[in-house]
Amino acid sequence: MIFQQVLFYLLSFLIIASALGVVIFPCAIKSTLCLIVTLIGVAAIFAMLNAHFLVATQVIVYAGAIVVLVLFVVMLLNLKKEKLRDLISFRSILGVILLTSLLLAFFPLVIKHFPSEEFQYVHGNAEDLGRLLFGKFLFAFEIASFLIIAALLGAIALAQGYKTSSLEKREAGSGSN
Amino acid sequence: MVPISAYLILSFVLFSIGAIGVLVRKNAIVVFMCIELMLNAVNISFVAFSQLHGNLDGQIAVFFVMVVAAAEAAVGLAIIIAMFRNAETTETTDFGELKF
Repeated sequence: MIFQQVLFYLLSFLIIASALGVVIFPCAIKSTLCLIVTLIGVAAIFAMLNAHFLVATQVIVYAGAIVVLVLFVVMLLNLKKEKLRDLISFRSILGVILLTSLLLAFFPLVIKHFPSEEFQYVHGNAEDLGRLLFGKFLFAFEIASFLIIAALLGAIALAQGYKTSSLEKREAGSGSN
Repeated sequence: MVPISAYLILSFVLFSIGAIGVLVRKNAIVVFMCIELMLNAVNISFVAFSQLHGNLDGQIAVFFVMVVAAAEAAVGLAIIIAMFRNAETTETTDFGELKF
């Protein structure tokens, strides 16, 4: 049991350090690589909470698909580095102070209201999750498939915007001639 | 055993780091990555509460959050590419024409 605690604190240190890396690194590629470490750390936290199917989904969907998409766009766009000095403004300092005070106010509340005794174990394996997903949550599942199709078509339409606008320009030009 | 409050505190710290990133950073792609951090923080607390109540519904919610995150990644990155194509930059401060 002490091993589990040590593992948890090591993992949370890793997650928080790499999440700070995402925010702090001026170069977008380094931020993305830190994001991969964070996502895999979150997958390990899921494993500690017995959510085995979600570990696989987290690694495949997040660390596999989404981060690769982000890296692809970062490398496609040839971005400039941000200077850390430019980031400090009145608005950002106010936001950081507000959030930190909220964080400090939240800690005692959580420790008081969630004691450790009521912890139960459920195993989130693929069979139980699948039964729930195709039984109780079937309607939500169908809505999710609609959402994915809408996002797919929307992404294609947005990414092709330049092509259609140049075509319209050409048509408008030929119309005036 | 690790208490449930430890998972919730980890989740809240991660969410705050993501929110601070959204407030502070100007590069739209990094803002997008910070939103992913916030979604992951919420996922941790969903799974922790699912363990607390001995119920798998929270893990199904995480599943749907991942679906929404994937859809958001596709559309958001397409919008960022369109922004870059129009203005040769992805700094959020350069797109302030609609600001009141």
